[in-house]
Order: sequence, then structure tokens, then C-alpha cells
Amino acid sequence: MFEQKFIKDFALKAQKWLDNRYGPAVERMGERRRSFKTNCGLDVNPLYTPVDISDNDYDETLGLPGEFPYTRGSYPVGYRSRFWQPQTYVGFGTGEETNERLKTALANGQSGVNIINDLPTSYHGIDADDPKAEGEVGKTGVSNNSIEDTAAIFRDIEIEKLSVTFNTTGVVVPAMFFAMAEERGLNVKQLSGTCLNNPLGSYVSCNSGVLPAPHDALRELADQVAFASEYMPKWSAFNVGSYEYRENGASAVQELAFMFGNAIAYSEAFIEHGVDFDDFAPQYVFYTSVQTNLFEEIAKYRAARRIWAHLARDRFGAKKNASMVFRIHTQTSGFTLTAEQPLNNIVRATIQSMAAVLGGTNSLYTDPYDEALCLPSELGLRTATRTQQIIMEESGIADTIDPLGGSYFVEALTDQMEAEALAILDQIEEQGGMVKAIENGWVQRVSELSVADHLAQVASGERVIVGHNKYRIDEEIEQNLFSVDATFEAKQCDRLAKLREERDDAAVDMTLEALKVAVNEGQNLVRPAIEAAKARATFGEMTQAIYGEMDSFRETFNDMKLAMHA
Amino acid sequence: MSGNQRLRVLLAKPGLDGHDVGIKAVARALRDEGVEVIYMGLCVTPEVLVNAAIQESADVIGISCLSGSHLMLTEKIIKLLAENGGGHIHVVVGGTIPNADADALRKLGAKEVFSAGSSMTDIVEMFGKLAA
Repeated sequence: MFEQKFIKDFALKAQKWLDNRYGPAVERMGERRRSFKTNCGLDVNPLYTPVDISDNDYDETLGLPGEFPYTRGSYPVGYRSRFWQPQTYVGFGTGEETNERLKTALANGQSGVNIINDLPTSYHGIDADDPKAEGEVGKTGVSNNSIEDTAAIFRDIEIEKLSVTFNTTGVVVPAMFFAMAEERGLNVKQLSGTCLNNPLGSYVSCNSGVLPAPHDALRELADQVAFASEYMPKWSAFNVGSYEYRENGASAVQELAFMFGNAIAYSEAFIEHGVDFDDFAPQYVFYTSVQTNLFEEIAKYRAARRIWAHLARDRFGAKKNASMVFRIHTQTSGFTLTAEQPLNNIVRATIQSMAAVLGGTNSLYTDPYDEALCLPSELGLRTATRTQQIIMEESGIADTIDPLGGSYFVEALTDQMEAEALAILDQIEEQGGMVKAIENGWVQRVSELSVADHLAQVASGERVIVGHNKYRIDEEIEQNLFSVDATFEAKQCDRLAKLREERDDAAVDMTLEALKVAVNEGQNLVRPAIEAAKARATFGEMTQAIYGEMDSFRETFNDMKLAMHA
Repeated sequence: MSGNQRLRVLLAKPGLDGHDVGIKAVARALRDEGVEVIYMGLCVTPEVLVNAAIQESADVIGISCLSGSHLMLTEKIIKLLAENGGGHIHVVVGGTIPNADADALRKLGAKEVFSAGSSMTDIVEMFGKLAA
């Protein structure tokens, strides 16, 4: 990027500066730390100069926004036309409570909503009245067990004007939504949004108890991708998620590697199902965490864009621009938030949100400050919304595309993170790919070691968490800011009983049978699931109908027995 | 208590929540301190948990509850322990536990409660005291 002679001369100058100015100053004053590193362990030098990026060719390494390799941005307009899509997460209790929260969020200026389902719905495929669900209904998300629950969630809300995300894996929850939309007289092509649908991430981090074996989970996913490809231009059937991995303990470069390990595994599965890369890749939306080391995170997004561009074009032979462009949703990190002095989390979420914006995220959910303590309060949610709005309206950081492009530090860090991530990705590919790496327990082990490392640094004070291991105050950690009413469970069970009573059982049985046939005969599952939902089959019934016909997945590697013997 | 043998701790996540970063970190930290740790993983029902604790001659059961079902689960576990001759086994609860619930848990018979923000040092120290 620079003339050879200039670099040669400058390198000498820079070395002189290091020896004659920086060195002596540091001898007198000392350095704050014995070593400076990003959180993922990359060295941070005192100063970066043109020398650090002298080998880079602008066109090859950076390109212009919207042009291969997209390092400087996925789109030619950046945020000049439209900001990123702010998102809010809602979900607790039954449909009514969630509907109220949704309306408040929309009144606050939100236009993107992510519906969080409770544990029985999200990860276990059971209804509220299943004995295993006792004590868990509506606590960490909304109990969404039928088309009528879905209708209650979205009552009086114009879904065709919203971007809706479902934080679930599996065909049933989105099918209930599509069914509800059709009952309202809408066509699914009007629906805008996405579903998390990340079975590989779920195996590792939330440890879904219900997901079938990988090849079946991927088939279920491929069906949704094919359906959306054909009928839903504004819907992404799934997200290539790395958030679960990062929040489960992986470092930023491991997160990149796992993100693309996932993308490769999913892509190969869809290709095997006979869908062309250029037909499904434009649907891809990635889903990442963002933590507090500002430049590490910004570099991560830039490296990600470049890595994906090359993977898409060079490995998968993409011909379409839309297949090579990297779209990403961000949720700020929960892992980094503290229970102590919770208002400090507003600051953390702000730094993290800024990193995501400077990195070029397509959409963003900012964690509320009380995230570490309980389900978000309304004040927490509103403050998180305002955080993004202040960044949008008052900070100016979105006014030019890739403002940090050309920073010697950020470019050097982008390069290093790309190299580290690709090296880890090689290790995954050597094992036979992401599915194998998960089945081997390798991904989990790597993450656990990262966590152990992190905790050791926190314990020694090398890593400071303000309010937790430094700048503590004498405080009563108030953890009762928002708790879920225990009567929701009974209410939901009553509702299910009523639904079962009032529906036509013969019709339900027929649609569930059709669903099973679709599973066994390799037919697309989405339409049969929509029909079953309309017949008032419950979420649990539909899930069991599907997964009952598939191979289960006993993942023993998470039942880690740590028995120590003398 | 197992007398002068090493402390035996059985760790598990009962209930439906699958977020196990915390409990695995505790397992590792205790193991590093020389505690014998048996980690049973996820979705372990109170019945299975109590049975295993008695079979394995555990001194302590440690559970992690992040989804709000801690009161119900702890009550069940303590009841089953008492009914099956495991009343001497301590129960320690960790997770997102509101202060009022922490008091309630102790009243139910939990030996100790660690809410969000607890330090690993404190947790390890507490288990260390149980070994004495």
C-alpha cells in the first residue's frame, strides 16, 4: 500500500523512535502492564505505523464498500441510507404479557423484535402441561405452545410492518407464525424476519435436550431454507450463529472460526440436499456476540467479511454478489455483564454497541443493564433502546462508511484475527468439519479452557472487571428487580386444556400423520407443519411428531465425569 | 461426611436450563483444589440426582439454577434426601437467586447459596470448609 522506499526509510525512523523515545520513557515511567494483549491474546504494540500494513494491497485486502472482499463494508451505502436494524428481545409469561411488552417496545421506537420462548418451548420441544415443564413455564421466555399463543403474542400488531425474529431452533415455531399470518389473510411473502435455527450452536451451548441427530437437524433446516428460498423473499430461515459459542466461553478468534465452521457445515448440508449455493447463501445472516474490547471487536467484523467473501467465492464457487456479502446480527454480550453495580452495564453495552456499529453490523440488540440479574425490566429495555438511538442520533459514528478503515492498528489487527481464525478453522476441518468437532467434544473443551483462562485472569486481577474484582463497593446485590408471576404456568395449562377440548381431534391426527409421512418420505416439512398448526395441534405434539421419526442425539460428551482419583 | 477422605462433591444441573458455563467452571476449580468432583451434566431429575449422590457417597450436592426454578428443585432434592437416608448430604445452590429466595432456600435446608456476582474464591473456600 505504500512505496517501498518510503517504508524502508520509515521503518528505520520508527525503530529509532522506539529505541530513543519510547524505550527511555518507558524505563522512567514503567508500563501499566507487563504485556498488552487483546482479550483473545493478540499482542498490542505501543504504536502502529504504515510498516505494519505495508504488505497489504488495497484492492486485495480491503476493496471498496460493497465490493469483494467487502472488508470495508457489505454495502456501498453503509449507514448513510438506513441505520442498522435495532432489535429488542421480548418474551415471558404467556402471549398476553409478551404482547404488552411488544407494544411498549414498538412505542419506544423499535421495529425489530426477537421473541424469546421459554425453556420448555425453546430447547425441549414440550408443552407447558408436560410434567417435565413444571416450574419452568414462561420464566425465561414466552410459553408458545400453539397458533393461538402465537396470535396472542402478536395481537393488534401489524406483523407485515415488523422484522420478527424467533430465537428458536426447529420448524414448528416459525410454522405457527406463518400459519397465524395466513389466518390473518396475509401471504408469507410479506413476512420479514428470521429464525435463529442454529442446531450446531445449540448442541454446544444451550444444550437443547430435544434436537435430533445432526443429519436430521440439518435436514429440518434445509427444508426451511428451501421453503424460504421459494416463497419468502424477506425471510432468512436461519442464522449462522456464533453468539452461543462466544458466550459459552470461546475467544473472539475462536468465535470467528466456529462461525465459519458452522457456515461450511450448513452449506455442505444444503448442497447435499440439492440446493445451489447461490440459491441459499443470499439468505445467510450471521449472528454474533460483541464484547468490550473495542478494537478487537471492530477488527473481528472486518475480518469476518473478508473470510466469508473468500469462502463463498473460492470454496463454494459463488457467482452472485449476494452470496458473498456478509450480513450479521449482533447481540451485545451477556457474559461480560455484572450483577454488581448494574448501572455499569449500560456503559459496557454502549461500548459494545459502538463496536458493532463501527464494525458494520446489520442489526443490533443491546442487552439491558439488569440482564445479569433477571429478565429485563421495562426501564432496562428502554435504556437499551435509547443507547442505540443516542449512538444513531448524537454520536455521528454512522455517518461515514468504515470510519476505522486505514487505521494502522485496526488494519493490522484485522489481518491478525483473520490469520488466527483461519488457523483454528483448519483444525476444525482436519477433524472432519464442525459436526465432528462438536461430536468429539473439541469445541466444548476449547471453550472451557478459554473460560478457565479468563477466570484465572480475573482471580489474579490481571483481567479487571470493574465492580467485581476492582472498584467494588459495599452493596446488597438486589436480585429481585423483575420476577415472573408463578400463576402463568397454571394459566397456560388451562389454556392448553381448552384448546385440546375445542379442536377437532380427527383433523389434528390427520395433520400430524401427514407430518410424519413428510419426515419419512423426505418431503418438505414446512407446509405440513403450517397445516398442523392451523388444525390446532400443539407445539409439543408437532415437535414430537417430527422428532419421533428422526434419529435422537445422545451427546455424552457433555456428561463430563470429572471424578478424580487419588 | 466421609471422615478424613477427600471431599466428594456431586454437581449437576436439574431442570430444563442448559447453560453450563458456570457449573463446569466450578467443577474445574474444585477439582484443581483436590476435591473429588462428579459432574452429572444437564436435565438431571431430582430423583436421579439424589440416587446418584447416595450411591456415590457424596458429601455435598451442588446445583446450578438459572431459570428461576430453584425453590421448587431444592425443596424436592432436600425432601428426597431426607426420605432416602441422605439427610447428611449438604446441598449448595448457585444461580440467579433473588435475595428473598436465598433466605427461603436456607430455611428449606440449603447449606449455602451463591447468587450472581459470587467470586470463585468464595465458592471454593466454602467447599473447603465443608471438608474440614
